[in-house]
Amino acid sequence: MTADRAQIVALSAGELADAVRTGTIAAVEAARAYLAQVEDTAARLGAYVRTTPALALAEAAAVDAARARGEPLGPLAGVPYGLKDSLVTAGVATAAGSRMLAGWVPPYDGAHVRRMRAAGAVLLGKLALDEFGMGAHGDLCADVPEDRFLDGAGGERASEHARMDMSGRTFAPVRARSGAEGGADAAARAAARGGGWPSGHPREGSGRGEGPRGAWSSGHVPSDSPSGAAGRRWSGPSNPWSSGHVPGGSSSGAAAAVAGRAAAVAVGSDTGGSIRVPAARCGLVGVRPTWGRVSRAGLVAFASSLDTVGPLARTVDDAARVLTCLAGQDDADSTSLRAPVPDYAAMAARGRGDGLRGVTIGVDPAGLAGVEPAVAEAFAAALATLVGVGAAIVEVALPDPGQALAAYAALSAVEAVSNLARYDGVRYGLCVPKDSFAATAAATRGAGFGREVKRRLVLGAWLQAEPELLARARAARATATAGLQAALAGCDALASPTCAEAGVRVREAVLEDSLRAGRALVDLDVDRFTVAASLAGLPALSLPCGLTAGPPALPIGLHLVGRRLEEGRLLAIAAAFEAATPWRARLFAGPEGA
Amino acid sequence: MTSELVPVIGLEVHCRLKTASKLFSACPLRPGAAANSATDPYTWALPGTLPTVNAAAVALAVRLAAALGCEVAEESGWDRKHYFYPDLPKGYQISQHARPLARGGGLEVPDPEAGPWATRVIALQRLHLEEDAAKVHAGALLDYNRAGAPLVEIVTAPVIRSAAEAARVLRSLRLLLLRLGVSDATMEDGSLRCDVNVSLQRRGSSAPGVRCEIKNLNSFNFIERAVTAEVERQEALLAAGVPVTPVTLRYDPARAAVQVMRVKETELEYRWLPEPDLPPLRVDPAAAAAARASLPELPERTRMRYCVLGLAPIEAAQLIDEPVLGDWYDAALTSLGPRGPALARRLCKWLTVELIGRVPPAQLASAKVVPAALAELVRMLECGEVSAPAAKQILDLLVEEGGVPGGIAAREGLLLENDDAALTAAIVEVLRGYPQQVAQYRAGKATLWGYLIGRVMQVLRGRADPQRVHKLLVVALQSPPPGDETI
Repeated sequence: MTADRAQIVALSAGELADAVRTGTIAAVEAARAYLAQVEDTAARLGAYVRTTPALALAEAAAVDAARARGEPLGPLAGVPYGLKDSLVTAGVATAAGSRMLAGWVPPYDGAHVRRMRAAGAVLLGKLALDEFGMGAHGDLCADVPEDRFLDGAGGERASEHARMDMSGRTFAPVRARSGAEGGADAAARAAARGGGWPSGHPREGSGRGEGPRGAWSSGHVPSDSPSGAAGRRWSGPSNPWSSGHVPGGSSSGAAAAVAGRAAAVAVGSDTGGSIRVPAARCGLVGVRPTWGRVSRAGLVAFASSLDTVGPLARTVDDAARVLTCLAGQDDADSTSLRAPVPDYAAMAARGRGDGLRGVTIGVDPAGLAGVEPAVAEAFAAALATLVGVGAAIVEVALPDPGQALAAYAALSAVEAVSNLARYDGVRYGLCVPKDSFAATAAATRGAGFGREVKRRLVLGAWLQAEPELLARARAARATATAGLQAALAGCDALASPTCAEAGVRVREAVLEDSLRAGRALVDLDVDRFTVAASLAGLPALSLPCGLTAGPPALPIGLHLVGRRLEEGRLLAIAAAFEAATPWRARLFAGPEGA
Repeated sequence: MTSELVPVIGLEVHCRLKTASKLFSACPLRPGAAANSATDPYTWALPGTLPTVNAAAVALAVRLAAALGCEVAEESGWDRKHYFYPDLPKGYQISQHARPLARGGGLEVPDPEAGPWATRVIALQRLHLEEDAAKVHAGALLDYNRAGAPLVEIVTAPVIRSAAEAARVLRSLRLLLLRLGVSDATMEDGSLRCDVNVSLQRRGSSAPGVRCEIKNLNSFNFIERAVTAEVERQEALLAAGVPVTPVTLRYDPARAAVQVMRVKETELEYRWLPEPDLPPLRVDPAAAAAARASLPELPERTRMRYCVLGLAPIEAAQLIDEPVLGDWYDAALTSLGPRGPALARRLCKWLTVELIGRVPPAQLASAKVVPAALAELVRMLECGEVSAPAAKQILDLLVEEGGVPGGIAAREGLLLENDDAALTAAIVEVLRGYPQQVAQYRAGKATLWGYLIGRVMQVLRGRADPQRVHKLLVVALQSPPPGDETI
């Protein structure tokens, strides 16, 4: 009846949910196994910025109780998962990898945690990311050493707020008096928020841990974690395949956790490639859905017209199951699509069973110039595999990646300036009080944003005043979109490598400050295969298609782009491919088993 | 030289729509609520929050656009307008810049210079929806209750010709908003706000002058004074050979002068960005048509109706400018049915002179006297059922206790007797008390007529029409007084 930890974490999410549903494994058992795994891997992976063990056990116990009452269980019943820390969770601090939001405890749940909870999934904690999702490698996370930050600078911060409120010299919200004059409604809401409302400020003294729901323990990753700790140059999560290589960004913690067996699945976000690139680097399946397929309500915005939320998983089936739970219209996001949500896992299973007869896959040979030989080899082998399971390969011409990357850099920066304008130190998050609003906002933003975020904000602010350049960027986006659509008119999916290189060494990523500008261009190029689908709002995924010879052996990703709302077809192709290759078994076993 | 210059004025009016919740979230709007209590995560611009459009606000804006004859776009767009100020929680305001909800149309306003009933149509450029900012209190404290409240901005063409006309345009718009029920349209509480653009143009020239904007005028009087002051300021500059520079101004009521606040922002400085969090706003043409079909009578049409009913311009203005009065009047008029038009003028006098003398307009809605009662009283007066003094007495009682005028008149004995036999009997009864005088009168002493009718009227006062008493007395005495031609 009881399964040991190794057995539990060796199961796919689908197998685990089935075991919980049949009663073979209790959800609480699964949660304990993963929590132990999270703790044991914390030092090595640095994937989590915040764990929620009490919440996880409570959610797991609720699943077991529902089963005991004979109630139907959700499709992810008892599946322990992690959320990228740019996805808002009520009562659990959400910082989006930024000093700006360190210690901010949201008073509301985003769509993603709500949907995962409804599906029976169990939240293990919040996963590291590049600040606000801006990064290609996973090393630009101010949040990894957050506990240190809170214990040190955080205390300072709380007192600064108090000073600011009392001085009355700079702007502050009038404190709402809850209760009596607000009526029962307001009192109830104030109670639900644990009194932290309305500013959303963390409670002074102990902003962490005890959220509005009271029962949640902080469960921090030990602050002496080597990842991100002082004295270590690499300040992001580790790639479980090689500590000398980056996990990829910006969903770096999500990829590290799932590949490192510290979560069964994870929910990340993808703007230019932030799910697909780390999925490729860590040997996972990562899906960027059609823009609008998954609600963005509760995603800390970076570039709204490009931001999407999707799964990172060890198998195509797991990714499909999570996507089925996340997808669908949401009243809280007006841009979410009303199209009915198919059973993606069933579509994937059909692909796996029926093969790819009649499916055509487009490839642009010209796009492969400059790709690392190991990647090119793996990609060629992947195409042969696809042909082997019945697919036809056709040549297509894809949009110029240089134009697409430039358009992406410009448009994402312009939207970021707008989306990040709210961080002014007045209502929530970091505040560095000065004598005027302008000075307070400037000092707060100066202290709160990291260098890469500032670089993009400066670029975006400059572009906002250059309408002609912006118009060119929008035109380039339209060209890329039309190019992909034209290519997809003649085939069912487009295939390419996910990244041109099989791995990026940590020391290459962490360049000296003087070389940062150069790095920005190099980093941008990481998204050369992924960014066009982002601009076009089309669904795309990355799945493992090989390992480098090593040592260390590093995973290689195959990138597929599909037509609008055809995630199911992409997953079917991916499932057929996965079934025909050894990579699922070898990569699923993880770095240790490979 | 300055005499050749004519002012060219345009208004940008913001009015807050009367909805239950904010423009982009379900957060309730609670006027007068404790500071920062009418807020929600979206109002605070908490990370991860997204806007969702309030359909009720769109419906009110479409109703207003229909009333103004604007062309409502089937599809309009949302844009972010950026500026850094703590009253703007997101750092940008969601507005409609490139594709407004509605374009064109016009507002009909009185044109007294052209005649007492004349009007002119002020062309409109656009009408769009946007969200309000937070309120900044003294001591740099912020109240976000107002942040996110739904506003409609209406931009007129630069066709207004004088300060007085600018104030008239805003007054007419306010009456229209009230008539439509889309806004409280009160300048004092900020539900109606106005910015004015002023430039001077050479008469006969089509070259536009340099435009300056006076921000946030919050009373009708200030608009007139501010525009006058700004026209004088620009005239003085040009007279001295100094070119006008585009600036944003504020009106200082204490000094009755305009003050430069800052150099005017250009559109570029707002760094407009298409709003990626909202799909385009779609308004079904059928919904726009339905909004047009369900419009009430608009104030200028009402004025024409009053003109046809024979009211004096000043009477019509009184009813229109005070919507409570106008609504009361129309209700009373309606209750008169086909008799209404004939009694319209008299009814207006009785409302605006007699009733308002007893009940202030603000209390009319809750008064005991109802429109149908006043209308019935006017009808009774017109039909000779009560005398004018009796009618005033009845109105006093209607105000005091409500009820119907016929009942009060009967109870108080104020109905005029109109049964000739009964009246004759009453007259004969009086005459019996003065046999000597009757005999003398009948014998030819005509000077006694006055004495006799005096005695009769003393008894019948308030119960009978004097004309009729006169006739019946003649019959009773069997001969008229000398020179009486009434028989």
